[in-house]
Parts: sequence; structure tokens; C-alpha cells
Amino acid sequence: MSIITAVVDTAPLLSALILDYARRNTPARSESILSRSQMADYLKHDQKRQTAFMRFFDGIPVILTTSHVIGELQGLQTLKDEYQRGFWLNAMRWLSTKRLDERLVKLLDLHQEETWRPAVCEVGPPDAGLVTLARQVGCFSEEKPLLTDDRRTLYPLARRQQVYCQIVEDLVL
Amino acid sequence: MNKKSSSRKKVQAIGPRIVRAWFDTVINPLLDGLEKEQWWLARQNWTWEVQPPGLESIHRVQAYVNRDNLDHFTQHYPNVVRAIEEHDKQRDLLLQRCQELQNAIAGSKELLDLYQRFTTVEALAEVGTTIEKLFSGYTQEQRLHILAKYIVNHTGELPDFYLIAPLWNKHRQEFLALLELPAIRPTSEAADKAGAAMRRSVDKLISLIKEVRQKLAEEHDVPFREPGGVVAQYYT
Repeated sequence: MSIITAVVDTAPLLSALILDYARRNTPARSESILSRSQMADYLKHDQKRQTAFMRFFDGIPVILTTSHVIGELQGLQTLKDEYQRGFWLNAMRWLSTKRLDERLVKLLDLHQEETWRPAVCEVGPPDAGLVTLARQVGCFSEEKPLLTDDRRTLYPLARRQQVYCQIVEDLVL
Repeated sequence: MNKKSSSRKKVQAIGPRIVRAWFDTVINPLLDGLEKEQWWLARQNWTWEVQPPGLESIHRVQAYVNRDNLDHFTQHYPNVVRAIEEHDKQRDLLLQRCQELQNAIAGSKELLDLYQRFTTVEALAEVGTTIEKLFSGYTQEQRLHILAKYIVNHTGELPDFYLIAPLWNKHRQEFLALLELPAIRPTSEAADKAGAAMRRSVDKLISLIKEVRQKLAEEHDVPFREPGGVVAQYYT
């Protein structure tokens, strides 16, 4: 079953943006981009897996995420100067082809909800916000998953909230 | 007599700690960078880039090393200074030649013809891609410049990872044949000549630096690399 839309966590989104930027460049620049970037360990130095990872994301027509996630990207990406400029220009271009739907999940809205108030305290606003968004848009099946590589925190929280959550690393072998 | 004692004094000033620092911040990072340069140059891939114009993986020596330690190191090895100057001079010349070749190819009617022929909806469908996938957000002029840089770099077959691979791999020979056009050939040959000179200067610098490293290691009982030591990094 193919994915119609997916809510995407920071780490896989960052990896997708770095890899998309790299694959649009020449081999020499691509190597520079990848060597200066932080991305998931399972993707480093494995071009077959990188290709599979991007094919997986190419197959997702719409990406949803929260403004928290978008805000986290700049703090996590490690490219500088011209590379950073290229990264963001490419990221915006790619996300527009993915019809990025960026939603604001407000901290004080989470505070209003009995369920989310302890979740914020436990895992922080970005993860609590992602699970909230996943529930709001109906991520309860394979067609609409919440995608993450965070097995430790986000994945168990999402499953407890009946959200259909998948670990990207397990999907792109 | 005076000259001799001053020279001995200089040598005596170098001990294992300085040698270690030279290895970690000058010699090894430089060798790592030069060996990468050698790899690309052996493939006649000049790592030319348009935006911003430059050679992606062929740098001036200063880019690889700690400059203060380089200054200290070269005070003791003037022959290395000459080889570094030659390397950097050849690098600047290659950069200039690549820029000229880029302009000649990107501005040619023949590249435009190939672009128009190979990027119709049908032609791209045949290789399983679309113009949006390849060049979304770029003007036609930018697209021609993108193709031209792959030609300047004599780019080989590309793995599936690269979005341009279906187009490039299918028509690579025709794109590269542009280098043989009478209007482009002299510029292309000038770039090849600069690339060959660059390669010679890299080979020479590598061999010289390795020779110095060997001597320093044996004289001061310092291993080339410390287990878990400093990993190569760019200083700019």
C-alpha cells in the first residue's frame, strides 16, 4: 500500500533534505555535502541505502510536519556558507514539490489537554507536537504514517496514542 | 661556521611534540587532501563547479592545513614551499581554464541543440524521468550551465543516486563529443593541459611531503598517525 501523506519527524526530514541536495549535484560536490553533513548513521557511506531512502520519499506525495520540526532543522544541519545557502534553496524547492504542509502546534494548546501536558514534560514540545499533529490528521494506517527514526522516545509515545508510526530505517533496507 | 651552528640550532628546536603537531595539522591533512585531488585528476575530473565558480575538491594548500603550523613547517623546508607554490599556481590556472571551457560549452549552439533534443517529454520518459525532476526551478540558461559543468569535468557514468543519471548516462558520449568541436577543442585542450600539469604538481608535492614525513618520523620516533588521532579536516 502506498503512502498518501506522511507526518515526518526531524531526523528523517533532515536526511532527506541533505540527500536530495547531494543527489542534485556533481559527484565531487555531493561528496563535500555529505562529508560536511550530519545524518542518520545507517545512511552514511551507503549509496544504495541513500538511493532507497530517497526513492521512498519520492513516493510520498505530501509531507506534513510541525513548525517545531522546521525550526529544529537549522540547528541540526552542519553546512556553512555557500553550502548552507544551497541546502536551504534546495530544501525549499524540494519541499514545495512535496507540497509541504507545515502546521503550528502551539505549546499552550498542548497545555490545555490533559493527555499532552505530561507528554510535553516527558519528551518535549516537538515530539508531543508531532504526535498531536499525527492524531489530528488521522495517522492511523499504513497510508498515513508518522515517520521517525526515534525508537526511544517518539515511537513508543506515538504507539501509546494509537498513531501508526514507522521507523524509516526499517523501511529502506 | 656561524651559518652551520644556526642551522643546527633550528633542527634542535624541533622535537617530537612539534613533529606530532606538524603531522596532525599540516602533513597528514595535506596528504589526505592531495590524495583526493590525485583521485579526481586521474579521472580528468577537475571538480569544476559553476555556483560559486571553483574547483570543489582541488584547493590551495592553505585550505587543508593549520596555517600557523604550515608557516613553521615551511620555515624548515624551503623546497616544500616551492612545491606548494607550484601546486597553487597550477590550481589557479586550471580554475581559469575550466571557467573558459564552461563558457565555451554553455554558450554553444550545439549544447542547446542537444539539450532541446534530449529533454523533450518523450525523450525523458524513455529514460524514466521528467524535466521537473531534473531541473525544477532552474532557467534554461542555468540548465545549460549544469550540463556544461558535467562536460567540463569529463563526468563518467553516474550511479542511480544522482537525479541527472538517467539523462547523463544515456547521452554522455554525445555530450562529451562537444569537447571535440572545432570551436571548443582548443579551450578543451588547454584545460586538459592545465589538468595534466596540475596532476604532476600534486604527484610531486605528495612525494616530497611523504619523504619529509618519513625522515621526521624516523629522526624523532614519531608515528605517522596516532591511533584515534586527529581526523582530516578542512581549515577553511
